[in-house]
Amino acid sequence: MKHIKVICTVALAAVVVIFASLSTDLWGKDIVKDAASKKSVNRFLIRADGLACYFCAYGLERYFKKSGKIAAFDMHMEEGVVEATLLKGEPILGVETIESYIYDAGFTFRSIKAVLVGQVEQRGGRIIFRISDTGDELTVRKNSALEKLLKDKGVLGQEVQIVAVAEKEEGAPMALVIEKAEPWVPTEG
Amino acid sequence: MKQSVSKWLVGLTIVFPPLQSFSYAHEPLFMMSHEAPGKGAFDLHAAFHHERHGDETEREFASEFTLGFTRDVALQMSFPYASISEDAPSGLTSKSSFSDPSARIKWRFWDKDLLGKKYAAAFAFQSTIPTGSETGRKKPVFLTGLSHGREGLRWYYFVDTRYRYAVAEADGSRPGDQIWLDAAYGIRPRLRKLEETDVVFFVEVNYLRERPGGLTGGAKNTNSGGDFLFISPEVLISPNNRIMFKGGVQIPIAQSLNGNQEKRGLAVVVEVEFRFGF
Repeated sequence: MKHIKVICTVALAAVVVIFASLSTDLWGKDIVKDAASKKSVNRFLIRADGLACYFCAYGLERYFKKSGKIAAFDMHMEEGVVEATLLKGEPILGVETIESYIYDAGFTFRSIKAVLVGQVEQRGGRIIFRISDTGDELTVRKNSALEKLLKDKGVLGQEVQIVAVAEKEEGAPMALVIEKAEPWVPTEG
Repeated sequence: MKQSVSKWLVGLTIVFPPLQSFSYAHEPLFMMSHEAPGKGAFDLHAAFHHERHGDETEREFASEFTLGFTRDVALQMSFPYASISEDAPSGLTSKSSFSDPSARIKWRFWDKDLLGKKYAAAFAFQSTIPTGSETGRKKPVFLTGLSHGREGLRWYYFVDTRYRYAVAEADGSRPGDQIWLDAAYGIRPRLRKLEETDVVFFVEVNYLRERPGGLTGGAKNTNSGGDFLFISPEVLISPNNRIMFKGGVQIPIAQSLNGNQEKRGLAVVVEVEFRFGF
């Protein structure tokens, strides 16, 4: 009887471990299937404090996976940066949503840099950035860097890749403060 | 008579298996610490604990779960199966059964995040759920503690204090209260990238003051309790951010025992932890 109990326990333990192993995608940072064909050219570089190890920060990866809008996830620990590559064609995540993910996972949100491909357009007195991939339209906040870009590089109407600080915007996922813009040249693959 | 007393004393230790460690993520294995898994987290642990105390050997296998209720509050449950054997002069005796499950609630009440590091403090309360099984008890055991620590990319420290109280059985017998003071230092020799194997080494120092327990009828058991000092080297290996293997040995380095008692031996913990979520 005792042996049967021990065997049952060991068998139960083995089932638990095997189940857990199978349910855990052990290798690879892509968080959707066939990520290579689903990755967009757009990504967020999210600065957060309190990130001290990858294992503890798994909660963040889980939130991004659950959002259904992120294809790949990476972390640059020494810089405190979480890199989230967006899914092609999916509307982008908003600043408030990302902030809540960071908080709920147990960390402190600092800022987001968005690396996006699209067009800078002028509508009336407003500057809009339209993301090529999703059609999302985001307000661009005016600053001296933007003025310089508009004047020197003539980025209006061209497809460009921008690096911008993402800020909260009522009724929209985010507003952008563009720091850098370069003509976009798509690469193979 | 002498034999029955000795059998009873053995019984007292037999029905008081150690409370499970509930080590989560990069927490030291033999103490309490402040880490919380975050809202919606679900962790599954399989832990093996081996401990020798005089002629008695206890082995325990436990399935443990950690649920993150909020960013800072976590519930942990443990379901142990224990096997206890004693190499007595009258021969080897052993018993095994499912033992008392335990539940722990942990609240990280303070944290401060900086680039690449986190300082935090937490309170925890734990109770066993008595089953009256062969290796369990008929009354609960409570444990409460405060912990503080720092997690960083290169190094960690943890300190805690714990108090364990066992409710007396119907016959008045009970193990002695325990007060623990623990400290741990951890180092990550090399910071790897996501999906590369991460290794962290810990060394813990554990001080235990155990008060004398109670005999049947409630009389003080003068042959129980004492002061103990342990040192515990540990290694935590995570091949990626969803699985972690942990192992540690608790070595007694000083023991001042009340009355006539057998010395404590080594304790070993081996654990595997999987991270999920909902």
